[in-house]
Amino acid sequence: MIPEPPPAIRPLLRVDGLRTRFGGTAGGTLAVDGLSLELSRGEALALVGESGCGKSATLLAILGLVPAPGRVEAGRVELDGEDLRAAAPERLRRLRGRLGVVFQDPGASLDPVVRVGEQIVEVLRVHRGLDRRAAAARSVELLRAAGLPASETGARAYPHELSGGMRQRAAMALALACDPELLLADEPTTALDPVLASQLLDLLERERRTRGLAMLLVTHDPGVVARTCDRAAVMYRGRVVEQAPVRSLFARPVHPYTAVLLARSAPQSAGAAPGMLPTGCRYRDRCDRAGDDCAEEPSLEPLADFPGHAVACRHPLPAP
Amino acid sequence: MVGAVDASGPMLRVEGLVRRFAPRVAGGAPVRALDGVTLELAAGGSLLIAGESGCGKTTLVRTMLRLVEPDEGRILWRGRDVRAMAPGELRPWRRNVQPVFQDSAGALDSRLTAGESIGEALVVHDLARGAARRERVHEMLGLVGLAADLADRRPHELSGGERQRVGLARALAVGPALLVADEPFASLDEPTKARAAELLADLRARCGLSLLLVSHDLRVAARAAERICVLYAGRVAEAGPTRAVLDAPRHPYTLALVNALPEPDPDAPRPAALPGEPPDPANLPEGCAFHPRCPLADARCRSSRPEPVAADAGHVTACFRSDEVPGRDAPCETAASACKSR
Repeated sequence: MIPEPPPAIRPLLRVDGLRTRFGGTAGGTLAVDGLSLELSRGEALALVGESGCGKSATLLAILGLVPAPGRVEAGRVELDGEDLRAAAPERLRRLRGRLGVVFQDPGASLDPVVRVGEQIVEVLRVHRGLDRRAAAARSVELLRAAGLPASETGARAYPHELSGGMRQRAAMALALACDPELLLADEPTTALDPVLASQLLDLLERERRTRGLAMLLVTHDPGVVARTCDRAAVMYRGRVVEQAPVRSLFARPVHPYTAVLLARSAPQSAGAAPGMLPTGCRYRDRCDRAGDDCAEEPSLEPLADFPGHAVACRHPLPAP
Repeated sequence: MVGAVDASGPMLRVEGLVRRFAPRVAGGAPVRALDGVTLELAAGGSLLIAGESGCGKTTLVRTMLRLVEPDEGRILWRGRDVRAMAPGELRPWRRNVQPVFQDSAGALDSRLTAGESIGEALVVHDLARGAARRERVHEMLGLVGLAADLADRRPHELSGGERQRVGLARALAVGPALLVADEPFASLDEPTKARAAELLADLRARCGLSLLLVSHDLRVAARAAERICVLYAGRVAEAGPTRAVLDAPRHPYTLALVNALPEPDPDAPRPAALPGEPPDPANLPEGCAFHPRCPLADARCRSSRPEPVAADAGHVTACFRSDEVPGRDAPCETAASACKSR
């Protein structure tokens, strides 16, 4: 019996040299400037950084949802080897069917005039070809798994009749309805109180485990990163400045900005306004370790002794 | 009928506030958003109102700002019943109590520059015009730590943190005695939140400002507030000095809230999430509103409603079994230098 060769380990998601501009060409902002990342099947990667760093813009670019007149200027976005940006509309629709999305504001994914249970039924009928009865049964099942009862206060409710936490759970059930391989979540728990956030993260973890779901999670909360993700990419002003397995990142943050983000060191000044970035390393104007050589932009380099850990900095923090 | 100003008591006191909303479904029970809330704020003090979404904290704040009228209860400002104020007294009172909103982008008029937004209130309250107004605007920008040249920018040209500060500057421009901020940290990232909390604490010290803060971000808000009041289902669960309440909660709900805060440590044990949902305010359970989710609930909890009683000096809790509330989950010790590569 000749053994089969092992399957090629191709990343589920691969982003290469992404550049995304918001606003018109004259005076538009380059929200994402040369971002590359990879995500394997079943893996959870956090995109973490302060507001304005480009993490949400990255997600929108992957989904093809950058609002006009903004646009993706350059880069490849590959889902299982296929370029999403080059795909024909029908092919793109099918590829997108492998993705699930949860936004910070559940209103962004829930239709306000349709009962939540019905929204899931609709999606199952259109994308999975289920008949009405099967779709209705599956919808009830999905919502129950997310903690919503099959009643007026759950599946039969309109989004505005549910509390914020319930709405977010419904949005999550909707995102998972078509059995996506990759979940893209933009600050899913930021607007929730700690108890609800904790419940939602539990739900997310359970779903990920049972489905082997990969996840790209955008957040500014280091606690969420620590709890839910395998790897993290720290973004600053449109670029990745550090990337590592989560344990490695928390045990030894190497980029000065990462240390601030993880609250290991005091925040410096607020920094230059968008459109007035320093040349070279973009963190220069806020960094107390900056030298003259920082006028040349550093590239992301792996750390010799720590597998999977890379940083873009000429004066990284010393090991603890 | 005009009551004497009581300078010795708390600056703001609400007593037995009840606010109901019309039932969602025709013929159903009314929604009890606030179900008997009593609390006070001393002059120059700071109070954080915390609790789950739907617990009534936003309704409480809106009622205190008189954007919503309570169905029962009193609101006393320096000893005077705010509801008994004549219309002519309302405007000066509103100057004294200024709101700062959660959605900084939504709260600022997108057509006005930051300077114009800040100056608008001065015109409305007829406090300063022309050069005097410009000067006051610059003073306010400086007070919140913004560069003077930001005055000419419009909201979309500012970062989230900067917009938040402009909202704050606008509220401060009229020289209020009390700042009421509803989720001011919601749209900000960690370093900006920390700066915003420090700014609020700094402003209190410098301007003698009192602060009423609503936030579910307990960690950050705790830096800005000396006292905390935890609401559950429209009722006060626990209230007292922030550190005491968060370090050693005397109500099982406060304990759950504190335990649910995510630790920025990958090796920390997962907090056990509190199961279930907050009760439907149109259908509150008999007895203690928390009993369906409470590990300590007994027969008494299920039949009688606990009222807030003193657990310590200045610290009240509405729990019959407050002495049995266990300590906080301690984060587990890990050798920080040990790193398991993946």
